[in-house]
Amino acid sequence: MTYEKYYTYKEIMNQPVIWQSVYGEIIEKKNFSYNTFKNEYDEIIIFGCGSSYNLSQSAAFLTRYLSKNVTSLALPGSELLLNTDLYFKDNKKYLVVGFSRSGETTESVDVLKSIKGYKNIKSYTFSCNDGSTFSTLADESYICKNAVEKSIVMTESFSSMLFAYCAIFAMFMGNSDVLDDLKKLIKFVREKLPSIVDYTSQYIEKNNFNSYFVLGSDFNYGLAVEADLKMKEMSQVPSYSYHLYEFSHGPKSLLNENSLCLILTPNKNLIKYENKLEEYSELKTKMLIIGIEEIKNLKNNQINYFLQTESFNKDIIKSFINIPVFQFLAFFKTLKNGLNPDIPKNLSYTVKI
Amino acid sequence: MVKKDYTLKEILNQTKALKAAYDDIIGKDAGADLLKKPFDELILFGCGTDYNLCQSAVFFSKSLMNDKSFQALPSSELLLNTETYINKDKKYLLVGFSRSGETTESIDILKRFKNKRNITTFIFSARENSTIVKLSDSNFISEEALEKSIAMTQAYICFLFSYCLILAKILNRNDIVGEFKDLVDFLNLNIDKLFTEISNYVNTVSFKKCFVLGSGFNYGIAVEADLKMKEMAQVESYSYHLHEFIHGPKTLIDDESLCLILTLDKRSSGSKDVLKEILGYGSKLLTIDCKDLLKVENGSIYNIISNPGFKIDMVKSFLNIPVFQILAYSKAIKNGLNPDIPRNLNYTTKLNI
Repeated sequence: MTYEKYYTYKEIMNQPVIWQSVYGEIIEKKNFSYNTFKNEYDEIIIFGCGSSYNLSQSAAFLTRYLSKNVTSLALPGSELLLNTDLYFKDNKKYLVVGFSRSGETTESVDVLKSIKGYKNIKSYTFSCNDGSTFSTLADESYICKNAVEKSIVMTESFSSMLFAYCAIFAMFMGNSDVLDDLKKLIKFVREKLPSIVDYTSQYIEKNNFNSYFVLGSDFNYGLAVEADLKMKEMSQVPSYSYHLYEFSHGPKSLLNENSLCLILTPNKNLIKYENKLEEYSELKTKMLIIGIEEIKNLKNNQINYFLQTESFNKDIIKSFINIPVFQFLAFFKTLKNGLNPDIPKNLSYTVKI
Repeated sequence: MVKKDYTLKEILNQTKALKAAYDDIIGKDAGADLLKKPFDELILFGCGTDYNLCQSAVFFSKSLMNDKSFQALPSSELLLNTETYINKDKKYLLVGFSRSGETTESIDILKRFKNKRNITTFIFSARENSTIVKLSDSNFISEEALEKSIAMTQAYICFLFSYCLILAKILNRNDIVGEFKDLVDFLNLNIDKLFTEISNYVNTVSFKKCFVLGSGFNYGIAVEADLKMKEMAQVESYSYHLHEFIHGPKTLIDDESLCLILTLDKRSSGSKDVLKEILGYGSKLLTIDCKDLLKVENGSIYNIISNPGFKIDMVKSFLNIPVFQILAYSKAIKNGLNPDIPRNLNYTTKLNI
């Protein structure tokens, strides 16, 4: 079966191409500016709306993980806009990093307008449209030119803007492990994409579920929220996202034999997470675990493992392999439910208020 | 036969617990050593409901203090990423919340940071002799908030109230302290009426999914409201920042939805458009003290509490708490469930980590 008629499919498949182009521009040719990053800051505030806010949450973790000295915070564009007096203090210096696919989202544009002229605030933005209001208002910006999508649902722009931020921040911090991993990531995903399509389409075909839980910690938490949103937007399935251990403190109340739990690449820093997964699996849910070898005591016909790899130095960059998996799970679930992934219910391309 | 009235008693008893906390803090100076030692960053942590209240508490802290950094984290995230969140060159105040005082991740945080020179710990719990309290440098015990129910209700409001009141008192914010006194009196006078009104409302409307929307201080309350609906009533529930909702999650809204809009504040510009859009999708709308915002005759809108007379928005936000608790309780009863025994959950979550 061909899925080429769907923009969403083509855009998910195109991700390693865009990542390569971003990598070439930032790392190889150094054809971009990032002088703004070189100043001293007390706090880096990262913001966006919807998917762009989700990626901000992962980006804020990466910032804190790599820099240690600077506090970083992710906020929805609207929260930052409505509470500027709370988040910006006269006695501190701020770098504000914003994400917007179209570069025209009202709240994000208004954040930049509201901080324009403040000496203690600098701004850097990521967008996919050259010449957008968003990038024009910023002190500096990076444009993921080839990630402009036709679909309403963000897929390649989500991963490409996050990829670009990781590349720029790692380069600024001189972290060669992260930069090496980004290169490996492009090759890995390019080679694995056909098998990801096959695996996820067959998995959806064989497994029924009517509630979907995505669990991920630290950098993966923002990805989990995005995975949950993709499933909602495309397939209209009730979907939820939680930190891996937080899930047991209440939300697992909804878990049952008709659920699917997607476990994003468990990191090396997790302590005895196998016990947690066992606890969830006892509630009869289906479970799909990404990126690790099979766990000895966690094997039954409800549990599947996919995309095992030890190729990466840093768990944070390995986390990117979750992205095409959750995007295709949502895509194929949508087709199975008889819906069109290119036309999500109630949504439009850019939100203007 | 299993009793069904612990949860109800605890919801109705919260005014007593708040009065006891108020008397301890204002009359006996309990918690006065919260900010005693200097710090650069305040990290608030907890699990489940305790983490939800941290998200409101961090907003409150930021509103009152200019020169510090703030972060709310699930205990597990702090425990697993200590090197990312704790810098040896900075001073930290860690404030934790745990009803039982025996939650594994929260205890493990205190064990890990015991005797670290740059870290001070302060704990809120309902049990004086609990492990977490014994490990802390200082603490506030709210024994009146001790519950028999699994789902936290009065302990939640009591901890959040106590933290905010202690902070306001230490920082000499007499305006806020005064309004907290008014809040206790208001709830004491009105909680029985609220119960009657909300349970009648639940009996007259039907909904299969629930969206709770709140910004700023209210966001943590929205997440807690969503969790209560899941735990007690097994209803598909979601929580979002008010304006974030339109950036994707609104895709699930339809005529079988109930949208609970938490108290809007002076900062909530543009809210009217969001509410109109929600109504346009056929959802029911339950608002709290915003009767005047939507001056349209629409059978789908119902408002609870009008002009309660609070000047400080964050104090007024506490009115949302009994409303969503009674809403979840009443929905559970309507669905034939026992709110005292939420599915898949235990009183205290202990892990082998």
